[in-house]
Amino acid sequence: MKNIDILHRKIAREIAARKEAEYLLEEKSLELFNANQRLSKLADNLEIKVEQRTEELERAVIKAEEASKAKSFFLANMSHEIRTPMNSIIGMSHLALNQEMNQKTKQYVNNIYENANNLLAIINDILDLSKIEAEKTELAYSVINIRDKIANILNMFSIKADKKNIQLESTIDDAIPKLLIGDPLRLRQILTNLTNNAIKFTKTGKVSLYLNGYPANDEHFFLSVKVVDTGIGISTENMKRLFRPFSQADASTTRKYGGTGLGLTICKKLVEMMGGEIDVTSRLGEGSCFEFHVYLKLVTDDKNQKIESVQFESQENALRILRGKKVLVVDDSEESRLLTKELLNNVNVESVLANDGNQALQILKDMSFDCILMDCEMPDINGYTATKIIRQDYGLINTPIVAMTANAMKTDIEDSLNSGMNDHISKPIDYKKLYETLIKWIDSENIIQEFKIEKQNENSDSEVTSSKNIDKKKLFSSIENIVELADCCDSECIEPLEKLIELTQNSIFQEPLKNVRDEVLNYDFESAAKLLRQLLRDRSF
Amino acid sequence: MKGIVFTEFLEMVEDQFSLELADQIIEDSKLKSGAAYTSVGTYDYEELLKLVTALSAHTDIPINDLVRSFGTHLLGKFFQLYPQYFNSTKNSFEFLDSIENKIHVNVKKLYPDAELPTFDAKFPNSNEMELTYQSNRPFASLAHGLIEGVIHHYQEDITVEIIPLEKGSNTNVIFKLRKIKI
Repeated sequence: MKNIDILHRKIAREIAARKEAEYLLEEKSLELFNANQRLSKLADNLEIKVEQRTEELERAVIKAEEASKAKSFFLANMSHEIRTPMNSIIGMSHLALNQEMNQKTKQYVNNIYENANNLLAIINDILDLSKIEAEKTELAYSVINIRDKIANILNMFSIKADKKNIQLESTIDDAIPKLLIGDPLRLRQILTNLTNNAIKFTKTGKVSLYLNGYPANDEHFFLSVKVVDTGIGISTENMKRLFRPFSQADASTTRKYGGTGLGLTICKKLVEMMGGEIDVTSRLGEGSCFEFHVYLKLVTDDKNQKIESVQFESQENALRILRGKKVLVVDDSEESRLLTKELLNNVNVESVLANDGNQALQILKDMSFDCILMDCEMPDINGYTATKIIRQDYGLINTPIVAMTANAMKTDIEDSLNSGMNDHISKPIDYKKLYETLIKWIDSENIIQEFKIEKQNENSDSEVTSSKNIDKKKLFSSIENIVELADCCDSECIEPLEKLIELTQNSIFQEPLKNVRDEVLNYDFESAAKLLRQLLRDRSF
Repeated sequence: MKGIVFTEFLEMVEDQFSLELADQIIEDSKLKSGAAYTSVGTYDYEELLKLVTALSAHTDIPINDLVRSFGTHLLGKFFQLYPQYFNSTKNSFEFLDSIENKIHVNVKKLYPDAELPTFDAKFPNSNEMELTYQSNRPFASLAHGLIEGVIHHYQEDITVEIIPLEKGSNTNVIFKLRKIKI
């Protein structure tokens, strides 16, 4: 009986416990249900929030893209708007520099001229970069003579390097073919930029260019270029930022050395456009090495190569013609005299310098020359008067006299021709132009050729001269020069352009060149350069 | 106190002693809950003390001894119910070290209102462990039994010394564990 009682009690306890357990279970279930409910609500909210955020982000991206486009557009337009008055400032101060004025005023104007040029260079950099970033830039392919290019660049920088007493040298591997196909202007831009930087940041020692490469396949040549200097170097930290826009090694660099900090960014973009890469290794205080490689097309057509090599040879031959010739340089500006002397030195031309017309006339009493380079604006006896005396009083009819003048006006050119001068080159002197002109007047064969063309023109006034009679090589190199000037928005390109139009009278070349002139006169250098590039590409015209 | 302690205790009394004795101590204790325990419920710890006191009176075994051997029994049950906690540690020291930061954390997740004792572990050297027990309830002996259960589970030779932080305290004590070198 007692046992049964115990069992009864136990069962009663178990039942009570079960009921409580069920109650607790129910409670927990409800709790769980509510928790689930809250969770799913939260999840739903989260999804809506994600959607909202995504939409907001998408809108932000579109806005940013639009802003970027607007920025590029604005920049391109602004640059154009700025360049037009800039050209006036540069042109006018250039002209003013040739007027009589006291030393102080001259210094002021010279300052204006130089700074305006610097400003223009900066604007050009910005425009260049914004164009590349907007993917508007296209490479213009033509034949490149690498050795020629390097020689030109070294020549261009030789004065600057000499001034700083820096050695400037290049080593070009024999494996590099004489001719390759690529964008000569853009390649030149990269090389010029790196060389300029190297000289700029080097105090003592030397700047060396090393070029080598190998055929990457049947069509392409892998060209590797190193520009090594013994300059101030770059710290590891700063190297990372070097190729980013608007970042020079550090802020103090900008103060000390100037520049926009865009050069290397442009270089990087251009190298990348040519399928290559650019990199830098450097040690602070020991120097830097900028190294890049690009892929250039091989000249596969044997015939083409032959023709081009002959032309190349003939150019080298032409420069050889100048060797040992004697030239009288008449200029009242010492800087200008020394520059001209240097340029003549480079092609082994002997030069005698005269400070003014009087001195020139004195020298000419005892010596004879292969050519006279005559500045037009000089005190006392100016270039025109001196020329008249040389021709009439001295009777030196066969000595070619070439006017050197900063005046790009057509009347000046006419004046110089009327006074008895044979030709005209503009200042600041472009060495290429100088050599070409000298070759033209010193090489007698060329004179005959020129004469022939002239005669033919006279004989067949209405007839269109066949392109055979125009030295195409010369024409194209002139056009290349003009393109370079147009790219810099240099209004001085009008002068050689006019000359070219004159030279191509009655030929099929003249019409397109006139169109180019119209663009230049409208200050639309971009379109002018485009037209000229088209001419260069379409060599068969 | 969690219901599992009560249900396990009564089960142990029924098994080790008898159904009658279990019924007897329940009747003696005059419990508010009527001893209708379920393992998922929560009950006043005083009821357990009353039951143990009654059991001690009937069996003449000291209360602390009863509670301590109940602890060892309870540990065996824990291993059956929650083997994952035992398998993730390799020995007694590791397991005891995981109580505070792993096991109790999970208990809190399931029973947010549970009031748990703290086990602060220190290792003076590789052979010794000091486990400081602090609770609002006087169940140091239960903890003692549980620790011995753990040592038994991992089949190790470890001595356990119990040092009360205050004289005769059953709420704040240090357990000194020493591995016996063979």
